[in-house]
Amino acid sequence: MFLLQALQSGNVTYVVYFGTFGMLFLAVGLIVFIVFHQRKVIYYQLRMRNMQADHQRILLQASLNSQEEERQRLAADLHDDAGPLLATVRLYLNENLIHQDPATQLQSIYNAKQIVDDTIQLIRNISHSLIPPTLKNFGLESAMADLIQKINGAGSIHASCRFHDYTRRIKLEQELSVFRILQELINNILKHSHSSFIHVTQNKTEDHIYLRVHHDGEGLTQTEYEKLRDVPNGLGLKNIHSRIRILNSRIYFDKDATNTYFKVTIELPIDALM
Amino acid sequence: MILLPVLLFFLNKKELKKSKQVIFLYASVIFLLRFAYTFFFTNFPLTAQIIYTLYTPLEFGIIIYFFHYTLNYYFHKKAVLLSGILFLVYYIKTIFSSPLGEFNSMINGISLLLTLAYSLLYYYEQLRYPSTLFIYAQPDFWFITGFFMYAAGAFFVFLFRESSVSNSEFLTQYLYIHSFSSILRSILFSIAMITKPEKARAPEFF
Repeated sequence: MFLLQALQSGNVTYVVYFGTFGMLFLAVGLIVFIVFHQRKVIYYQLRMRNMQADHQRILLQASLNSQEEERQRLAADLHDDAGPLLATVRLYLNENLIHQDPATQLQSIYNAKQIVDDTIQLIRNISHSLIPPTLKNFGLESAMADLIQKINGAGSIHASCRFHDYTRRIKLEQELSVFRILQELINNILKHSHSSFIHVTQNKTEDHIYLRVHHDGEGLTQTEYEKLRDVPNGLGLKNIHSRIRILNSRIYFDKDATNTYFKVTIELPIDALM
Repeated sequence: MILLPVLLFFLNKKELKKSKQVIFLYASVIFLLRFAYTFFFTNFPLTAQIIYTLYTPLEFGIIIYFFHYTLNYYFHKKAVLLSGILFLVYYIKTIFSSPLGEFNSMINGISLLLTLAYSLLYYYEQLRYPSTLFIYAQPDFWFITGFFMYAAGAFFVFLFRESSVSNSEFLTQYLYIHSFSSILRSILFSIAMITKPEKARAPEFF
């Protein structure tokens, strides 16, 4: 208002002084703001990068722990089961060297053979736990059908599985990761959810493959999943997250619109197919 | 005072950053044009008037080139180039429609407004996509701040100069404010000339 009055009265010098002062004041203010704000942005980015590095470290640690656990389990299986069996066979064979009676020898050899058969079965079981032969030979659909059959065999929960469009298989190494994720999800449902059914489905669009696990028990939402996967203890969700990242895919935990069941969706890119 | 950044450029000649070369050219052209104008003013007024007319397009042409080189984003570069060319075309048109050597407040006001706008584009880029930890460790920041402060300081005096040419009080004020803005610009350019660009880059966006 003052500036307008000054201008009307022809007193330009006031307008110029105030205008110039105002412009310079604004310019200096803007530059100071930019310097500080830019620094804040950079620090924020650095903090985000550190957080991401920490997160990566946690995932790597989880992956190492998981490997270590697997190794310990294998060592325990071999030491506690295969070791005593083979030691027993050795005993029977030693007995053969001491007792020359053919009937005793025959019995001893028969017993040793029985134990060797058991050992072969045991080693096969260990091997199957590393990579299920059904998955390797017939694919994810058959491996899931096997898993579902085993769950149904226990009788406490009703499980079903339906693959709508799985004519082309996912690449083997990725298929194993997907199977492990589904196995972990189902394992978690069995352990924690108290649900009465589990239903696994597979669908495909032009760009993605979708695998969904539905259940009617207590489940996780996306926020809970993201929170729990970053807590230091517990490996399951970290392994899922780690595998999802390796697969270059996404996972969504949500509740159905009707609020009757929980749903976990794995979204894989279409180029994961063979 | 405009010679100070030129001298500092020679002192730091080992470091040939392109933006420093452009500002060296800018300061040299301004100095030479002012010197030539003063030199010819008394004995060759027509030559002085031609030099005076050439001052704005030459100065603004270098500014356009500087911002086009300094800005990072394609759209910003194109906007600078397009608006700069449009302005120069308009300026050439006004040369023929107004007396030679006469100060045109509107043209000069627009050139300062465009300089302010280009500087704001640079600041926006630095805020949105920062490329260095300390913005003031970059010579470009000081060059652009020099342009920005000069444009902000000289804007009002340029705006009223044409209409107040007979007002002696205004002309004194014009001299003070314009000189202050020019000195400020030269100081900021000089800081830029002695600033060594920071090597460490800011983290990339993810």
